[in-house]
Amino acid sequence: MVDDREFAGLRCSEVLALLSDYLDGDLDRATGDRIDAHVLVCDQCARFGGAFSTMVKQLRDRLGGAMAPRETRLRILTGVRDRR
Amino acid sequence: MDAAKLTRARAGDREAGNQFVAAHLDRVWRYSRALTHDPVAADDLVQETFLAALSSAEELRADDATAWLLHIARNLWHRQHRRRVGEPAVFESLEQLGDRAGWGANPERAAAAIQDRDRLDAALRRLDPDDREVIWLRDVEGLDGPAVATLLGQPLATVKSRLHRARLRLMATLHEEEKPHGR
Repeated sequence: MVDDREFAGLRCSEVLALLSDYLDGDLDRATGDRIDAHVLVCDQCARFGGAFSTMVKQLRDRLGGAMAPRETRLRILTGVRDRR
Repeated sequence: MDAAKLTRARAGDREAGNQFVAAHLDRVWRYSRALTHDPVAADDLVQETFLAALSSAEELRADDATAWLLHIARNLWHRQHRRRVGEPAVFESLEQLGDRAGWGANPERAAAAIQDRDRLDAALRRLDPDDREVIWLRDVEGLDGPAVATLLGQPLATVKSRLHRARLRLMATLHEEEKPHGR
C-alpha cells in the first residue's frame, strides 16, 4: 500500500492523479513545478513516475512506426486499385 | 498536399490515388491491426477504409488526413461489429489502480516487460478494447489529445481521464505478470 504523504503541497495520491497530464505537458506551470518539487523528495513517487514515464515512451518507441510487410502493401494497393 | 492528391484521385488520377494510399497505408494498417487483432480482417479493413476515402465526397482539410482515415476505419469496424461500450463492471479508484501497478511497492518489477516489444504488445492486447484503443491512438500513434477526442467523439476531459486509467491498467497488467509465483 502507498504511504500517502504530502510534499510541496501535494499528496502522493494527487501526484498519481496528475501523472498523465504531467507527462503530456497538459498542466499549468505552477502545478508542474509542485510535482517536480514533490518528486524531488518523495522516493515512491519518483520511482513510480519514472517507471510510468518509461512505459509511455516505450509504447511509441517499440510499437509505433511498424510498417506493413511488402506483400501486404502490394495486396492492399492492388485491391484498392482494382475495386475503384 | 493530401487534399490536392485526394481531389485528383477522386477525379480519376490513379497515380495520385496510389500516392495517397501509400503515404498513409502504414498508419491505417497499424490501427486496423490494433482494432481487429486479425491480420486478414485488418487488411480488409485497410482496403475498405481507402476505398471509402477515395469515393467519399467529404472534403479533407489539409492537415488531418491521418485522423480522418483512422476515423473512417473506426466507423467501418464498429459498424460491422457493434458492441456495447460502457464502464467496466468493477470500478477501481485511481489509488486501487496505482496499487496494482506497483505504486508504493516495486514499480521497477515491470521494467523488463516494458522494454520487450512482444511483451508490451501482448499486455496491450489483454486490455479492454476501449483502453487499448485510446492508448494506441495517443501513445503508439502519437495523435494529440484533441485529435483523439475528435476521433472518438468524446470530450477532451473524458479522453484524458480514460487515457490515464488505461495507462495505469496497462502498467498493472505488466506489473502483475512479473509477480513471483505464490505471492
